[in-house]
Amino acid sequence: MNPRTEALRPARAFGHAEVFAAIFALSFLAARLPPLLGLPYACPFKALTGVPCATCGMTHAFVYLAHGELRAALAASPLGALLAGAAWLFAAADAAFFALALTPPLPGPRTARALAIAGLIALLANWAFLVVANRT
Amino acid sequence: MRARCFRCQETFETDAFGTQVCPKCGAEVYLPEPGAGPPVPGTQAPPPAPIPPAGAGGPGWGAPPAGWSPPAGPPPGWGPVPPGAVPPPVEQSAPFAERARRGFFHSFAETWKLAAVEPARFFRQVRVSESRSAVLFGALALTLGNWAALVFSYLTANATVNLVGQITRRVDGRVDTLPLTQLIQGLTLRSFIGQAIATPLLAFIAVYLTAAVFHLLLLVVRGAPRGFDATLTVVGYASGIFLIRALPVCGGLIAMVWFAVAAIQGLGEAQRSGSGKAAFAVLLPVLLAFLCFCGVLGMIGIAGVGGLRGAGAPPSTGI
Repeated sequence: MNPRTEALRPARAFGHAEVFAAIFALSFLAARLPPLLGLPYACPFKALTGVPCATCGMTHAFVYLAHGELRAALAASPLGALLAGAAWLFAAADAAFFALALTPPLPGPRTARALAIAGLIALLANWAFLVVANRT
Repeated sequence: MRARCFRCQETFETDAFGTQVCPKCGAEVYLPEPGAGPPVPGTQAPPPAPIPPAGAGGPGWGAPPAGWSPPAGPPPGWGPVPPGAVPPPVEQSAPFAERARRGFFHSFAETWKLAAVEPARFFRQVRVSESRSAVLFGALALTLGNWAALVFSYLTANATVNLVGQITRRVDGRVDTLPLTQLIQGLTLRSFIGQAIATPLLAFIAVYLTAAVFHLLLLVVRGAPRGFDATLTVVGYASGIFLIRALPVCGGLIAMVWFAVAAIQGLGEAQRSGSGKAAFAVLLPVLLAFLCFCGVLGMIGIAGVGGLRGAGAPPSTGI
């Protein structure tokens, strides 16, 4: 093989982790560049019931955090802010691992399950926070 | 001489040894020469099973005949498995994963039919290591369905704005329909083109994110022993059902319900975890999405009731 082509070839295959990293990086660009909060959209669940849904405030949290407004992001949706930060950190870390041809440490089945349960509990806690915050 | 395909079990005539292509299903069948060296110890296959009658079918993607069951032991063929060859697994590639050989449109249609009509059988047999084909299949179907729905929305935007206007007058301010009106009015030609261009990328992202959500919920109930690839394969192929979003008005709702059914059956089979755990993983997020959808329907329904009674305002709903 041509040595130049060999040098250009990625040392690690573009797998699922890289796809998610690319999606998360895109989410940063989407939150940072276009005026997302100016779009005429409201949650239909909230419009009908007056109660926010479990994912209400996520867009605001992503947009605020992308503009460096941590306090506003946490107020809009604590889980959204946490999710945005974690997603963008993952994207940056995976890009670095990919560039260095290293394999990122992936959680084992037990850790992954613990993380999934924690995520579900966090979603419910976040929903409770949104409902209470919406009433006060 | 007559040879029999290990995959579709159909027999065919050939006059050459070596690798042959089955004229029925396209699988490669190896026919060793009679004078070839002795088989490697341990790879001796049992004598070939009696040739089934014509049209008896087999374990291919076609429907097996009544009373048919897979043959026990190594797959039947013409003689022993050649040295170094791996016996074909029970799993097989989806037709769409073999699109280069089968033809794009034919394989797409065949895969769509299997995933939508026979999800349990399809996802039990499909090879989960070829999730890229599944993602491409799902993204394609989602894109086509969305494009059709987008065209319909654009063409009927004026009528929908009028309908929402009537609703606004009838509910007399009880429900805030302004966001919905603004959303529909915002569907200009420019935004229509923008959405049409963004749809393929969004469809691709949707397949991945949906699979991620389902997989996380499967992990909660210990229902993902075969890994993320199996979940992604099911979501990808089952997303083909969203092609029927092209049906005006009710296509989206039908597609959502159908997708949920196919995904539950598919995840249960592909992950070998049973449909109970799969139902938990699929229905929890679908329920949330359905609540939002019902919110919109509820707004329209409340307004409709008020209009039918001619009272100008709907009965009290506590909203």
